[in-house]
Amino acid sequence: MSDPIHDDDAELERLLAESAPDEAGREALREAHRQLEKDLLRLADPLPPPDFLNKVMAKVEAEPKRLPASEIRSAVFIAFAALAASVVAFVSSGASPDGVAVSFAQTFVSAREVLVGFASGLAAVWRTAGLPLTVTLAAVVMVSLVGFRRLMGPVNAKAVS
Amino acid sequence: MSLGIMSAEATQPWAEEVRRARRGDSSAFEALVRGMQRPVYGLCLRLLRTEAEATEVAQETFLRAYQNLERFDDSRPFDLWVLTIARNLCLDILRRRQKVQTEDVEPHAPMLASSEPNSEDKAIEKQQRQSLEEAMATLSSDDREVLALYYVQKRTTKEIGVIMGVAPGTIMARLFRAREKLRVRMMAAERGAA
Repeated sequence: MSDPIHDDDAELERLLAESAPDEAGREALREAHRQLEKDLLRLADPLPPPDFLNKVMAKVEAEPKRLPASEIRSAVFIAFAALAASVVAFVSSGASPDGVAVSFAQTFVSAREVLVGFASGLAAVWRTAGLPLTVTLAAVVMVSLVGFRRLMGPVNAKAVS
Repeated sequence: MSLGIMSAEATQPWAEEVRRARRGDSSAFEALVRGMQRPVYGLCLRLLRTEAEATEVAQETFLRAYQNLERFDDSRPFDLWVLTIARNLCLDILRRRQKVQTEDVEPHAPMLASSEPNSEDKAIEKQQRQSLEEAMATLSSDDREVLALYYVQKRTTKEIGVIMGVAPGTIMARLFRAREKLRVRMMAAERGAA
């Protein structure tokens, strides 16, 4: 660290002159400040309480995790790129907005058929192998929950459980 | 270009920990807290003069630093940024205290221990340090702050200027005036004791 007594002599002399009119007074004051500086330099910052670090980290861990800005930028870029690609594909295939509305309506009609087929298939499986199906579904749900919990971390997992 | 980046990294001692903490590495942030807890708590205690408030504000300082880590400018020193947060939080509390016109709190001087080991040989020196701390505690928060940052935390005038948001050229004058007030208070205390 620099020595303030010698660092900025002109400034110090001006300040000393403000406080002491004669040279003897200034010298005495200069010496008193020099001694005071020595004493001040011996002071040290106190240590924080022993549990300080743990408490800070507990508060930090309790904070919701935020995605880094770079990841958010990447996500926005991917979304826009996908949108642009779909618009390009749509235009290049020669489709018109009218065709889109018809396709949209047809999707609902065919989705109904798919749902009915899926439900009857599920009912058939339930009739023939109900217990294995239940066990398999329960296992899938449990594994998913455990994985989700691990991803969230211990503190946030506690908050949602 | 790369030279510029390299030199900026070389001058910022916390750069790597900050980068890792931004990526979600909590051990990196823990290292930052461990390295900064003493100066942050010390500044808070010297400004607020109560252990409970200083602890609370110092913890809040690190939480704010964590919350705003993405906004932190890498080209600036991390420790000065954190100390500036701590200072601003302390000043908010001091302003609130002035508003409600509360009674002055007890000085913290007896709680401020030296970093040196306690021994009989150093009893007089310890007593002198305690007198100095007590005299310091009677100064204004501005004077305490500038003395603490310069002499206790060994910050340069430029760094203090950054933390306090003032021109570095004014720090020397502030230091002189704070020392002068301290000298007068100590002389008065000595006369009172005699």
